Amino acid sequence: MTEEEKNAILKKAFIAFKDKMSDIRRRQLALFDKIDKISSKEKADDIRDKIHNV
Amino acid sequence: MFNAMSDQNPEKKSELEPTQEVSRGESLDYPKKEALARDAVKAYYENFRKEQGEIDDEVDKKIKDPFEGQEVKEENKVLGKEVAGACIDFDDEIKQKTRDDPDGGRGIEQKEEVDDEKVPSAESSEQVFGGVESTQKPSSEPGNKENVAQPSEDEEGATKKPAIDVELKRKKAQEYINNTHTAEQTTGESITEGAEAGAEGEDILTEDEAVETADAMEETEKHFFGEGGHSEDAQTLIDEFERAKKEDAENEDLENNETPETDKVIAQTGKKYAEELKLPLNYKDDVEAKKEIVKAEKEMEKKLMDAELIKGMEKGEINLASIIDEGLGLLREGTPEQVKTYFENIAETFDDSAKHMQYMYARMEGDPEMKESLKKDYITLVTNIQEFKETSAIMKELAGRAEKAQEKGVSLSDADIKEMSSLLNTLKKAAVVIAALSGALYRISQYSAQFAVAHPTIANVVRKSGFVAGAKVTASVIPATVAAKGMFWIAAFVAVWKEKKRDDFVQALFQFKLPAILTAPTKAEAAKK
Repeated sequence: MTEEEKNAILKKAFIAFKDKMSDIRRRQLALFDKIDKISSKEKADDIRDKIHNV
Repeated sequence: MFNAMSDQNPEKKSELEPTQEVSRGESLDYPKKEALARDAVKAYYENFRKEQGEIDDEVDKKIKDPFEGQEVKEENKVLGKEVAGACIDFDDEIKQKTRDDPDGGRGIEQKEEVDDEKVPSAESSEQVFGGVESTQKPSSEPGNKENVAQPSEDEEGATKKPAIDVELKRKKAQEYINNTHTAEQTTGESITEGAEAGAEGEDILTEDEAVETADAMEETEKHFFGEGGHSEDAQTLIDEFERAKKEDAENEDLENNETPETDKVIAQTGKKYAEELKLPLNYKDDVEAKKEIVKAEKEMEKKLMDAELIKGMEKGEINLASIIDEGLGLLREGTPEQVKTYFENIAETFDDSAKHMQYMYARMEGDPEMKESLKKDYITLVTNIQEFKETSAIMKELAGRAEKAQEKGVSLSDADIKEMSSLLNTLKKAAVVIAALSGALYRISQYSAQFAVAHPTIANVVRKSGFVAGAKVTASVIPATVAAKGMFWIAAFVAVWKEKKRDDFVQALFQFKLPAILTAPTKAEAAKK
């Protein structure tokens, strides 16, 4: 296998890797958002409970 | 951390001499290119691991519900699995095709196991991140193949004990990274400055280290793709990445209502409110004007906090339902004049509530810290003020019908009574399910704790907002129900008026302890005085 062919394979593999990571990154950010949403809802519920118990 | 990929940081880059030296040659041979690519993959992996750890930490810190928390952690683990898979695929692709190795770099059995695993494997990633060394050592060498293909005992044990698996693997991943970095430093083979992270056994990467790593990644990629810049395919992916990054930033801005026009819109609304409230034009800057606003706001509170109403609320004799029942009773048995007065009173209360919110808006606008909070809640705040006004208009219209009947000396028509009863009944039902001031006041409760401490008025609002924060908001809010919002707000405002309760509320909401000077005295303390 020539050096050029190996370089082409390497480039293709790296690009495929980056493509996957780009998608994973977006989903990872979505997880941060999800945590915030759940946390906000829990705080709201907590506040409601506290107020109803006063 | 991935976002730091494209950050330009000349100072950091100046520290990247090893990278630059290694890749300065215009045409690198294949092993060096592979080493660079592996280094970039490793940097991606490390960045991912850091954020993966952050997600788990955030779950532990922020989410109380164990099921919800577990769900997020599971999703996080799935991502980890995918990253591990991506790393391994990369490794396979190279080893299989550039070395004519039919089993890939690590063997089919290993691949199947990783696919079934739900967490990233430090060991399998290590195989991928054999990095520079692996590229220098052909995969056909027995040692290398053995290292790559065989799952460790820990991995096998982990499949039997999934609960322990995560922690174990995380620990091992960190150890691996630390060891790898240390080894690289020792041998002087480190290509990325970011690889130094973890050498001292701390967390996987610090912020600064992550930035360095990202810079190194960028540098590495640049050389990997050659001096002529990125290939067309690579550029497409990078563009896509940048587009996604920009989109994320825009979404974040949108959530915060942050647009270039925000300041302008806030100022315009403030001016409109100032005119309605007859405030001086320099209300935002002038100290005396600010005092006026605070004074007016307090007067409005005092008016809303009718002593008799508070007393009735405290005794439990008056509540929202009883206020509405009073209206229903008047429709059945009262005179048109009484009905007129009833609706006029409610209308006035809504007007006052709207004014109170407008004063608050003006005060927030004049305070740099509060203005930032105002930006976040501008739409909901202004919408609620508008709803108060619209509700007042509805009530005034009903009062007007009662007044006409009074002028004519006749009773209210059956149609009017039916419509008014229907409205009040709707309010009564709606009050249970509709959040007063919905998100706006809840969001206010999230404002700076310092401000709440410094300003009892906001503390009051906070209590009230808390009262409604958990109520469900229906998607289709019919106009009449906005009245319920206001009444609910007022009821809540009054119901929790006792000072001690107020303090408890503020403390509970903000999760901090009020300074003694700002808290109400206990009964014993009051008795002493």
